[in-house]
Amino acid sequence: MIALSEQSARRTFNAEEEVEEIYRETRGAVCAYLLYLGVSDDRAQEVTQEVFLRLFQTMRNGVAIENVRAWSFRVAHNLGLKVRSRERALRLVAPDWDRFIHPSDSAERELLNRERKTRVAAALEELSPQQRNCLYLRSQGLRYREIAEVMGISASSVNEFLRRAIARLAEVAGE
Amino acid sequence: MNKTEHLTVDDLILFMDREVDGGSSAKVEQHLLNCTDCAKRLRSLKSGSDAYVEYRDEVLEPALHVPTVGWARLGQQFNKEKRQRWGWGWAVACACGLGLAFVYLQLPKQPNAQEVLTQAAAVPEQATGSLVLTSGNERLFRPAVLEAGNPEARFRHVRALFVDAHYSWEKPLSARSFADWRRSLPQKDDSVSFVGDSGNRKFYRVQTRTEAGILRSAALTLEIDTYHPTKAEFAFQGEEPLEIAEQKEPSRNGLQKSQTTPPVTPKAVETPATPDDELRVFMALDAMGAEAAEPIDVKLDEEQHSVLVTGMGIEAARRKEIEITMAGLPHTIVQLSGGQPLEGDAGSATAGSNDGMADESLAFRQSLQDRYGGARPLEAATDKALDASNGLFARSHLLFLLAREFPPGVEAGLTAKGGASLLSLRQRHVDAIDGALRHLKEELSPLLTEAVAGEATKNANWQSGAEDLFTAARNLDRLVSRLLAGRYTEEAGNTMLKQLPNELAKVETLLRAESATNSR
Repeated sequence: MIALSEQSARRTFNAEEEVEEIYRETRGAVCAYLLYLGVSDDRAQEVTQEVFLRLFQTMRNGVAIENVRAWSFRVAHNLGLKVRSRERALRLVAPDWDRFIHPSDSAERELLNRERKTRVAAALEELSPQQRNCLYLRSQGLRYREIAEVMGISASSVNEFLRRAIARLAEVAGE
Repeated sequence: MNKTEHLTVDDLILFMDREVDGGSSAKVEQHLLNCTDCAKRLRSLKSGSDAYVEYRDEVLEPALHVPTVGWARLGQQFNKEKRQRWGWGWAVACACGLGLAFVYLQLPKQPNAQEVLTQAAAVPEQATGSLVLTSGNERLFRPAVLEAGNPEARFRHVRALFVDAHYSWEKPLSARSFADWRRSLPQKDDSVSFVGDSGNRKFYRVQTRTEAGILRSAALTLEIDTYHPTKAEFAFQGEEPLEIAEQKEPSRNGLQKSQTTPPVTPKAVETPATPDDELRVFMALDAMGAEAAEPIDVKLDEEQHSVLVTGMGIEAARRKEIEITMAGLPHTIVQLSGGQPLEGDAGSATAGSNDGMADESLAFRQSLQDRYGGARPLEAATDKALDASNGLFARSHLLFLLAREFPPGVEAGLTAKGGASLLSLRQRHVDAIDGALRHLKEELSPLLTEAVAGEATKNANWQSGAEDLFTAARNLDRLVSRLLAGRYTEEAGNTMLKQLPNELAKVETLLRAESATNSR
């Protein structure tokens, strides 16, 4: 009994240390994803902490998690959708490219660049929310299978969504 | 694959995203070296991908206002959570607190990776003993230290990976080897954590991750007291994770295994596998979700000693999930291989490389958009239709496997419980196919003219119609994928539009026959 208590305490201690470290490294990305899903600014931080608290509980119970980053996104996705449904819809941000004009850029090049970015933004607007979500998670370094798990769809659907989305962006980026 | 057979957009994107296995990746790379067209298309896709990252960095994330301050330490939350969990008794809470304090005092302060490795490298290394290498289903044994020279054939591939990564293959379980590799990296990210085993041993786990080279992550586990390395874990790009550990005496307590997957090895089988064993496999697959069965085959081996679960092109995480699930089932051998199969069937080719099609394809796509009332509704409907079609195909595949493995004679020989389970499983597949078909028709309705299902005839038994239903579902899936997500000429598009109601009707007719047979 004593040995069990010590083992449990040791596991708790290890889980705390590990989760604190993961939390420091990953909280920004998870919070960004929640905000992206449409969770309000004042709730996103709180929900992010909830994600990592759940991670702590899971690890403390001795459950092995193969990819903690993907796991965190999946829990954030589920929590985010619950909170978001009472708040607002998925964000799509209208670009203000003037903020990115660099004095060193020639006027012509800048104009072309801005046009390209506007086309990209317009093309993104035409994509489905699922396609945009796949693109976002992919850009966060998640593998297709992990994206599928986060979104609750099949890996082949992720493949389809990404293929069409990237091909479309390539078309407009290269025009 | 040669120069005249261009890569599909799918191949290129999977290659770009490193979602193909090592062998296929090498083939694509070889093709790209010889084919300027495909190399150009890859660059174009990369520019599309970069454009998104640019948008995310410059527009999306700045607008999200991710907070950089105001983050509470989780420790307070942990304590609160622990208080809630242990709130049933002050005495217990105190005991746990004392226990934690005890453990805390027992554990050393956390050093950094450099400190641990420097200390460990100074300790004389053992030159005897054996190592066990575990990767996926494979386990290999070798001496702890090897002389340089020609490796045995079974080690050639893994040795090549180590050589490529500049990591000592001669002494892979060594703090010095780890430190040498780590030192050679231009960029790296270290972490050190404490792990314990079920005995009283404590370990450091030093992990280094990098984006440079083929070895993306390595972790070395060392005994805290002696700095003796007991385990090394390697993640080579595009490869199964590899673990190298000391080969332990059976009586010696090893590092706690609860964090790792037990390797699945063929079991020695003394009694033959039964159809009930096979049915358990199907039920386990069903519980994991239909998509698991998409590229998987399940059958009794020729001698009927084992249930074989085989499949190709299954992603590593999914493979592991299936292996873990199947590990507890009797007489079951899992033989899955990874990567995405590059050689897709002709019907599913969703993009050609002929740029001349672009204008026509765009024109046809515009006509599809008109039917749906715009680009966004079309995209949304496409997503849903592809999901439904995918589900329909996967479930038909499961039904087909079930029918093939449980023909009437075998079904009759099942136990009463087994027979009931089989009926229930079959019914779930039929219901799921029915649901997926309804969703698919709904999403495709703007494209459909009169779709008249043929008259359903009762099959002699439920098994006899399953293969035809599977074939029809596969044809429909190919057609839907190509129509909604492919690039083709306007003429081909119009032909597909004409075929669509017939293909749907075929599936519907066969499904009705299946249902009618079920309801006998």
